[in-house]
Amino acid sequence: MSCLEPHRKRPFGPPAIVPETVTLEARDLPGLRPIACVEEGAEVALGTPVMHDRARPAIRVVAPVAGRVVRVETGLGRRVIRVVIRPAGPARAAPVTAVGDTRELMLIHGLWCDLRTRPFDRVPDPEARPQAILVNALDGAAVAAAQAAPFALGHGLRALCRLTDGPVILCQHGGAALAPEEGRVELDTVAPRHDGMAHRLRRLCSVAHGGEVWTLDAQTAIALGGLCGEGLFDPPRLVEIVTPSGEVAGLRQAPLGGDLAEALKEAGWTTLATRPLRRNETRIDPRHDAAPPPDGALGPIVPVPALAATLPMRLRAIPLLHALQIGDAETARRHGCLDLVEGDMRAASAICASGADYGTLLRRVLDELEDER
Amino acid sequence: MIDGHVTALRKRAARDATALRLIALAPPAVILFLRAPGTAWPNALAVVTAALACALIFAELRGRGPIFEALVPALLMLLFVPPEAAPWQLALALSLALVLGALVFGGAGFGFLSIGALALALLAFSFPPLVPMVPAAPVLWAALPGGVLLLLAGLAPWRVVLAGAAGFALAAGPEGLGFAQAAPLAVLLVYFAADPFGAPVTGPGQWMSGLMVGGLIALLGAPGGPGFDMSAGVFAVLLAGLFAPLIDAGVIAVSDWREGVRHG
Repeated sequence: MSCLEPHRKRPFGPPAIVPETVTLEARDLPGLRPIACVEEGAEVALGTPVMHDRARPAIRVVAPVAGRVVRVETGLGRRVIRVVIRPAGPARAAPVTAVGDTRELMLIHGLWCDLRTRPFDRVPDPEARPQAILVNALDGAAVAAAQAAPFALGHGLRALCRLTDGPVILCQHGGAALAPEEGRVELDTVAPRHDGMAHRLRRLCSVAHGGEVWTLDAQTAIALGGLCGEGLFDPPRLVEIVTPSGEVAGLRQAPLGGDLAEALKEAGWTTLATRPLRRNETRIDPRHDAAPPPDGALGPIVPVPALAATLPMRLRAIPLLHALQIGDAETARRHGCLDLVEGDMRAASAICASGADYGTLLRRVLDELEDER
Repeated sequence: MIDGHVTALRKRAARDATALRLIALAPPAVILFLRAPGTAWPNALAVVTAALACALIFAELRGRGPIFEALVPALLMLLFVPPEAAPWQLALALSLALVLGALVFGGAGFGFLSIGALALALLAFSFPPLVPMVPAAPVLWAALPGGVLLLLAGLAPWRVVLAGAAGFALAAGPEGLGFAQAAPLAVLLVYFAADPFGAPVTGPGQWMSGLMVGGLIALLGAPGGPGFDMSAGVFAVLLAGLFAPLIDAGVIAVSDWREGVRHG
């Protein structure tokens, strides 16, 4: 298969960003306590481990570019806050010797940190087996990447089947199938409504009554497929940049953590000094970066249908938002909050007149429910 | 094109709820002024002063709180009061309704009743001959475009309105129906029964609440009387509003129970 597929997968792909700095943030690793395994001034090659989890050292973050480590910021107890690398050149794919099963491959090459669990939105435990794996191809960036590398996506999806006994479901907004349906690989191609992964999860394999499902971006599956299929480690990711008027300015190619301030200036944004590409981020809209409003008194929830439609379970949306506002974890669990993660609440926070930041409120409730387990 | 505007309107509806509801009520209020400026002015002055004063006092006490929401029940009251009501009576009933129905709960939106209906009911309780009345036909017709706006924006749950009409038709029977009752019934359902904060929030709950309002209007209405009995409508809305939280809780309990059965 590998000889059939061209090595330069995106010869005319979106323009690549060559960042000044690459910042790997520890806050992109929910549920982990990362510690650094490089020192300031060290030279790193592509794929060199940069940080790993304290309790489970197998989970690690690798350098997405070759270069020199210029800063390692640590907090209490050697806990890393961020590692900043100055790249030696543009990020490009490199051949590696891929050994081991899917789990080992993903751990060794730092792809494991892209996986997220539902409920609770954590980096999963390497020993666990989920009920199902949902692959997110809902964004424009994921679709473009999948269309550019259909073979790698197929390889990746088949490799993911080894992590679970259940189905591996590729979620896309209608259109032509991005990958063939075979074995336990399933496709969910619901017509192009603007729903998110929470809607798909709720419909396909809800975790509100127990169980665990993992989600990942289609680009991670493509990277995994590249590793298994052709032994290529290809860290650059596609990302959509949004203009201040809310339209998509275009796709860019950037390594994880790469500074996107230059590209954002081109798109018409002015106020940013640096803006690293966060993990699993496929769409940059600086309006979403604004700090959540301070904890003040919240206004009433005006129960309009547009607000209920932002959440997958139409029936329970308003009672769930009420429960989140007052921090009632048990009621929120009954209304199905385990299917949701912080990112799903953005639309609700934007529409609701109460001024609540439902992402933060949901995180608080999920933390409480996770502690009770 | 139109579809896009409606989507934008629905997305903004929650943030602009007060403005949209006031816009919807503006045309009938203007018609009311044009028809009888002499009686409208003192009444308007009384209700607006009372509403803003109550809201301001509570906003000052709590250190927060929007105040213009109180104008919505004030305008509703202005439209449906009998002409013989004195301004001070209106002010008193409205203040009582605002404080008991909304402000003691934390402001508009935290209570569970339609404040307009509560104000009219308190007026009828406190000063027995003053029962809510159906306004003149031009005023009523002027309220209908605003009602459509509220339905489109999602600020009036359409299920309540539809179920209310169905409930009224079922309970009143074929002889009780007439064209004269359609407009007042529609206005009552959209502006009072489908109050965004007073109606249930679950879909089945909204159907039930609407059926209850429609049925109660027909049952409580004066038998054989010509035209539409507004006081029956107001009390029906109030009664259904009292049950709205219970209906919601029941719907959620039933659906929890069904999910529990499905998941063992």
